[in-house]
Amino acid sequence: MKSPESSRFDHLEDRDPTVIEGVPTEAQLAELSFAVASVIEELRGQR
Amino acid sequence: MNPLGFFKYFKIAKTSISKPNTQSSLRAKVHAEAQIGGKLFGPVPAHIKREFFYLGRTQDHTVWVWHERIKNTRGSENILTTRYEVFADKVIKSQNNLPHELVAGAELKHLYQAIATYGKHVPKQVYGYGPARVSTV
Repeated sequence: MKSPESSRFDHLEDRDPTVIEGVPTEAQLAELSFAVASVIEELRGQR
Repeated sequence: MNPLGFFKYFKIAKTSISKPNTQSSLRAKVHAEAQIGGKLFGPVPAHIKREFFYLGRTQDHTVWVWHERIKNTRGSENILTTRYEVFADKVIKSQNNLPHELVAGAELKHLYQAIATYGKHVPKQVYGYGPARVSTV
């Protein structure tokens, strides 16, 4: 079995205009994840 | 480029949606998100069931889950569950019963892209909210 670190993610760069150049920092990833989480929680009715 | 630009647009585009929320409806919503999330990574072969979804958060980190069920030729299933905990200073991955490890490099970038793509597609495809056109400026 392959894990998410495999090349199955590769084509995301073609699909997602929000990708950033290079490797993001943990802080950038955390900022993004909290922003997405907030939107999703509101849509779920959790907020 | 501001990678969060589309969320600003999104906040303008959506309206207030306060609805009663039961555990069963919440489970159904997460399930729907997971189904869409699993399709964000390209075509899925018939013998694989793939899910990717936002699980929840604490004050200092969010939790994202990648889940795959792979049916083998004997008809049984191999299950791979990967849990990512995203903190401001580290990202921890735990996979099935293996020891936790720190995420770095390409996998960190892939996770970033996966979450960004999730945030872009799930609101529209699952809830019908979101920008008609994505702005990344």
